[in-house]
Amino acid sequence: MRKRPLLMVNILIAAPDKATRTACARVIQSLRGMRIVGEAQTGLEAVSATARFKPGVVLLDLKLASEFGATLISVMRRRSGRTRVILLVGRASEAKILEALSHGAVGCLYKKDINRFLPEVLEAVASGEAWMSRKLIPKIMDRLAAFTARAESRQ
Amino acid sequence: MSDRARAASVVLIASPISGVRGQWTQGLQDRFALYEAAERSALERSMADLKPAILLLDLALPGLGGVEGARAVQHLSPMTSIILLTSTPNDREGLAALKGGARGYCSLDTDPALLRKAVMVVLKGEIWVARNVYAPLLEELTSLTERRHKEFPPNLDTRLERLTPREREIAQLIGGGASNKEIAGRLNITEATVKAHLTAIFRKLGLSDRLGLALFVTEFNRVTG
Repeated sequence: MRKRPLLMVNILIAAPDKATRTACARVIQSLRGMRIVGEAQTGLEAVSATARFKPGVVLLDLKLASEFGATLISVMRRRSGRTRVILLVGRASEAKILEALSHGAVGCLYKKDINRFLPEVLEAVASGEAWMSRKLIPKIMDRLAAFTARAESRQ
Repeated sequence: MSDRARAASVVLIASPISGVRGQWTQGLQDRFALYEAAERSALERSMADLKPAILLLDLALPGLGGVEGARAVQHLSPMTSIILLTSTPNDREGLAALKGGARGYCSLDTDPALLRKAVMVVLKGEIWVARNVYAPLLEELTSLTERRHKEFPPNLDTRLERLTPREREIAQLIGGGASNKEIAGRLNITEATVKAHLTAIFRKLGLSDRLGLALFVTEFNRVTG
């Protein structure tokens, strides 16, 4: 596994509900080398906080990302190129998760798994890896294949 | 799938090294019907004759020709799920393997118990690949998506086309950060009318608030330049 640099990882938590923000904050406070630089409750707050703090990682509730057909993530990445986005997912459709991943999210964690997996996810994503359920991989391959098929049919 | 059906699944093991074949056999022999191949022609014969559920394929098999060669082997039995194994795994090759249709890619010295899990997972229709392949996989997905959005902005375009000219005008003003009052003054209509238009705009675009609309319009303007 790649080692992440020994720099402090700055994290922005963006979720509309307090329970999710608190759950994440509690886990992060127990981690060495990670700190919370801000919290956001709406999509626009998340974008402006990302532009302002240029966090290493944004924990983004998929509810916020999906409001704008996932373009929120593209906007965030343009405002802060090094920021890596991890989705926090409640009961979302797979289509929405895939849409958000297509726009540049590199992690996907179910909210029920925050206590168990958030440290691992943060560590992986801060080291440049991606983290998501294996079950998403075939769906991603389908999307890639569709792109390729489309490109070939145009030639 | 019942245990009996699983027990009947045919797994073909192809590696030039008998030690490797032996190691893979360990984790699988109690549950699968195993066949072995030590070189390419034997592999091709077995693929065509047995049509195995799974092929565990060592990329070092002489004459295989790497990931591309594995693709050719796939044509002999399209329904077979191929798991590629290599002594030198790297994420780019892993990505190429998956894009070539392989259902798995992992290190040659994967523990037999883990390899068994890989086989089970792939039999269920999932894909088995080391996590360091996930990042390049998603990079590819994102860059293809972005390229497509550049080529075909209609995604946003068709959504905005659902709006009436007046609604589009209001949407653009929201994108510029105008308040309802400012819009009303500018277009010489009442604030109540602005609100009614906004409700229609949100519904048509599938958005829930003006912040979303502002971002949507900003994005649209950026994409369409």
